[in-house]
Amino acid sequence: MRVTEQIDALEIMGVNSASYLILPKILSSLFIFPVLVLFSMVLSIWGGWMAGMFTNCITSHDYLYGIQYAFRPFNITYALIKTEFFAFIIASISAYHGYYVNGGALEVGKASTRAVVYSNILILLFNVLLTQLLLT
Amino acid sequence: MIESVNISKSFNGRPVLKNISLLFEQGKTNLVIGESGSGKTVLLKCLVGLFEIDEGQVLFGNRIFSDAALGVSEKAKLKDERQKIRQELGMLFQGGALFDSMSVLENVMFPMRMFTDMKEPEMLERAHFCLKRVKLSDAAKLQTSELSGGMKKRTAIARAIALNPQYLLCDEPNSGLDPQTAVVIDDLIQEITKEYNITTIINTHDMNSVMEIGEKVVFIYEGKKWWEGTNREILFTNNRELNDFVYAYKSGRGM
Ligand SMILES: Nc1ncnc2c1ncn2[C@@H]1O[C@H](COP(=O)(O)OP(=O)(O)OP(=O)(O)O)[C@@H](O)[C@H]1O
Ligand SMILES: [Mg+2]
Repeated sequence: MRVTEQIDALEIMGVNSASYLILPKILSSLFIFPVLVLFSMVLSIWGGWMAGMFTNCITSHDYLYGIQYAFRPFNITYALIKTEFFAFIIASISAYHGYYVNGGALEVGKASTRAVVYSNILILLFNVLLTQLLLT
Repeated sequence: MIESVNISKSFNGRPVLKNISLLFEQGKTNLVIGESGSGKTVLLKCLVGLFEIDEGQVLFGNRIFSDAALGVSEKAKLKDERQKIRQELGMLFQGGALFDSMSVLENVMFPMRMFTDMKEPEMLERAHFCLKRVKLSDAAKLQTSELSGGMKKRTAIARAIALNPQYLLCDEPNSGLDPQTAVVIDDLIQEITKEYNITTIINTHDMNSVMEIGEKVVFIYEGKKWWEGTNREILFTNNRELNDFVYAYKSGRGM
């Protein structure tokens, strides 16, 4: 956006461009990522169940027993806590690199690569930290 | 009225603007001319604070907008004043700077959404009025990617005038357009300037525009204010660099 002067245009109008552009992205990520994660949990468990049944590997009864056996509700909370951290990392790092990219199409490509790399590294790091903090 | 007092700007030690003092009058179309790379865009961006000036002062009316001599805390105090002035200011960027996630109509309505508490029908009415001024009524629903270069410029003008600005700054409003459309845009800008008695600054290197609407013309050369006057005077000046620019002679070759 800076590349095509759209951020300048916002600033000129007197809009605080950083908060106007970045804040909604972070807020919506914080809100929608957990929903997506819950969605994927449900889907994967349901998918496993269907696959097990159709391939006759496991009976429906065994599967339902199995997924409840030694189930810890905290695992879900733990997943959601991690999700919130990751959501923040992904949204803020990408928005930051997007906001400050200068130059042309080439720099946009480089900036998105940087955003992905830095998000990945931070996610790995926080994954370790959060696991240590929450699960030990 | 927009005034710059002895402003200078350099990038990484390379000076681009050198000690420029200018007065842009209200109700007039003020033109800034100069060859490509002479610093016209930088000057415009310094006036509106997109680049911070290294030295000097910028005033809108009698309100200080930038002052390089101020300390950090005083600059912070200036921020609210700046925000207010910016809401009275319409700017046309060299590349249009339309928001590409919005349609033409939404682009024009955007400033109203942000800064007024107008109701939706009022905003629509105003937006359609602005689009009519730039003869784009039929294009209201189009996305910005579906516009031609000239239509983009006209949309940007419509957006710039949406809030009835006191100041209108245009960076090469008619570059890359065919001569007829260029004239239409020049006339439109002059018309708006007269009608609302606003202060208009136009960057250009189009001599047609200079002759048509150059009520006041400033020639920037090597980052300095080289000459200023009216479009009548420009024909009779004996300023060598200006003549080279006007008649497009390669400097040194002469006649
Ligand atoms: N952000 C920036 N960082 C460093 N140098 C810059 C920057 N913006 C402009 N410059 C330099 O300032 C000088 C003036 O550029 P400017 O864009 O003002 O030219 P211009 O007169 O608008 O030219 P044109 O008619 O081609 O638009 C150029 O030498 C350019 O390299
Ligand atoms: Mg320019």
